[in-house]
Amino acid sequence: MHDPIAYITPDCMLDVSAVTFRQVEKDRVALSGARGKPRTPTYKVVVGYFDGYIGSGEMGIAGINALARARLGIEVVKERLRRRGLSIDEMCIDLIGMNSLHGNDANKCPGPYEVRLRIAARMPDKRAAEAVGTGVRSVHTQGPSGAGGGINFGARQILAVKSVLIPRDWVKPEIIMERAAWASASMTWAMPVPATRAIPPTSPSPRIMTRAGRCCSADSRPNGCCAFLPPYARPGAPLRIAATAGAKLCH
Amino acid sequence: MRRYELPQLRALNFVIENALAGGVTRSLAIDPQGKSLSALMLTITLPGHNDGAHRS
Repeated sequence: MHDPIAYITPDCMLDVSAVTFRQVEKDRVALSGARGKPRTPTYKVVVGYFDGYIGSGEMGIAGINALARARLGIEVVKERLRRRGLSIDEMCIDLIGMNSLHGNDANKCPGPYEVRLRIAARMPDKRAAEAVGTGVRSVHTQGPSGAGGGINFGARQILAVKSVLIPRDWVKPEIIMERAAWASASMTWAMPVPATRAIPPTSPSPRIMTRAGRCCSADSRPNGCCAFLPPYARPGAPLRIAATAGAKLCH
Repeated sequence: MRRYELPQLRALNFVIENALAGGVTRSLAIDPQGKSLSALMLTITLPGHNDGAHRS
């Protein structure tokens, strides 16, 4: 939550500044005082984009002078990547540790008895990212002494997410009701719908299609950029669509 | 850093911008959500409060 007075929800701005809780009875708590404010003039759109690959690995280093040997391990891994001519977009180096290797008192030495080295790096391609975990794990046998418990976490492609705000009038929802025969009579629209057309039953569950062509069925979870039907929407049951096409762009 | 006060809940809400290295989906950090950051904040010594971080 950012500003508790103006928290943006799919439906409106929420003000929790006057929220109070009250013990009603054992195991029952009443909440009151949440207030709604008018909706924002923008939709929040969650954009996913590919953002390279992350490779990572870990290695434990035990005993006297563990910290200095862990630091030597870092230099060994970096040098191996450099010699392979791999470019590193961004690197994160962590030194972790308490008693994971031998279960003993962490104060056995003047310095830390155990240091667990973790290296994660953002690389431009999968092959380069895989070299990060491989390099860390190779410290087992080709690096400072007293290293063990290495893990190569491999490489993963990164689907990064960025939130942006767009003017509400950029979105022109087009809603197509499939299986319209059962959905027509008790349908209530809570938002102006520019184009509605019925098409014959083709699918086992009702679907709403946005202009962008994304769609989801009644039983799917709502997500960032498509409309959804609430779980109570069943053939033959009253169907209520409350600004879902637009609202799910804003959460 | 911004602080929001909710006195009726005896709560403070802190918002720290740019603290997650690009966010949970792309961060290289071992705690990409920053779940542990609240513990870091609790080590801050407030002026005139008995060196609060060093209580035994």
